[in-house]
Amino acid sequence: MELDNGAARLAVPASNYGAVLPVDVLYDILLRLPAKELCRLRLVCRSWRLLTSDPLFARAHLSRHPPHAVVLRYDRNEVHVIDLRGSVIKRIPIGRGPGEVLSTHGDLACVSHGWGLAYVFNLATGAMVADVDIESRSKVNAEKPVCVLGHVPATGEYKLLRIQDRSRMSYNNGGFVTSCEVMTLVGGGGGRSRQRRRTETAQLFVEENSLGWPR
Amino acid sequence: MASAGSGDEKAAAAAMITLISSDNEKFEVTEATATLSQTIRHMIEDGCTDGGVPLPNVTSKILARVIEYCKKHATAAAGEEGSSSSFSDAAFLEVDRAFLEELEEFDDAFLEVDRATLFDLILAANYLDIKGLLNLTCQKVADSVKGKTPEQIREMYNIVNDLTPEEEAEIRRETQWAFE
Repeated sequence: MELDNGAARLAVPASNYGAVLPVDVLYDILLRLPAKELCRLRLVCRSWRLLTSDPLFARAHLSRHPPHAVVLRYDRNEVHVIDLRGSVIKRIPIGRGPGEVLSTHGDLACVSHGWGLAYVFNLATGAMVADVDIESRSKVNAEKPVCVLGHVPATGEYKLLRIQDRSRMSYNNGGFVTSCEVMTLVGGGGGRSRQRRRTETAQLFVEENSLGWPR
Repeated sequence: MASAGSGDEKAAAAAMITLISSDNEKFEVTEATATLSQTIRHMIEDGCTDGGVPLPNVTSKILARVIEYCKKHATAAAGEEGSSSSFSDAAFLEVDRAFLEELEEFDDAFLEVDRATLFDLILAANYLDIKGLLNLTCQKVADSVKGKTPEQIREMYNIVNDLTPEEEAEIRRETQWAFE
């Protein structure tokens, strides 16, 4: 019952007894806590941080606390929130024409539509958060771009990743090029900040909402 | 039961096992109670419980509590074996439900211990491999940690903060949302 590698210590306060819990027991205890708690508890000490940052732990935790999954579908100017049994549990009207790709982050969701336009809204309230109207410059020899929503915990910013495929016509060296632009959402607008090129196409479809979701 | 030496099943079920704590106190328990511990179950199966089972990691104080738990839960696991024959099905279910409620109350009361005892119970449950008890006690610790700040947890469990200020800042940045 001795601690086998000293990685985890949860010492008993009693002065006469310096017992520590075995790592597997601490592992078991931490697995019982919700994800948000665990993030805060990384600050307790180094071993707690290591234990909770371990990919194996993350996997075990996910299987024990399956996310509250919903699927989003864009249908005739409306976003439908569908539970895993296939029933529509909420409809959110979005007056933006045909939408294509939906992505979510926490409570926010993004409909990508037209030539790189994006509409970001709050899934819980339906309120608009941002209406990005920077159209893609290249419409010749190019696919319609898609916008995907992301969040940067370090800065608290939400960003949009815009991905567009362009054929080699626009490039001298030939090949198919995917351009990725990252836009930071600032007070409902959009500003371009970075551009990158990649030579493979990326397809993205995000359909999961890990936060508790009011019905 | 292969090599235990005692002949038929009935004799085995009624057999008593002696558990010996680290401070040399002896506890007589039924096999049904003792076998809630997988560790002891394996010892019984291997026929090495003659002359008592020494448990050098468990004090008499903690062993007494563990046995208290096992007795209660062994009765639950065995159903109302002795007295059930005269009940109708409906009455049997009623008794069952009442018993489960009683068991829950027992568990709640059982957990009313100080932290040092709780830790000793966890260590004993882990060593003796008693799933139910380990589950119960681990959940208690998990509940005690919920909603607490890292500082409070360190204080509660006497944990030394070995993170550098830089590491702390890094973690805070990574997990800022969890502190909102």
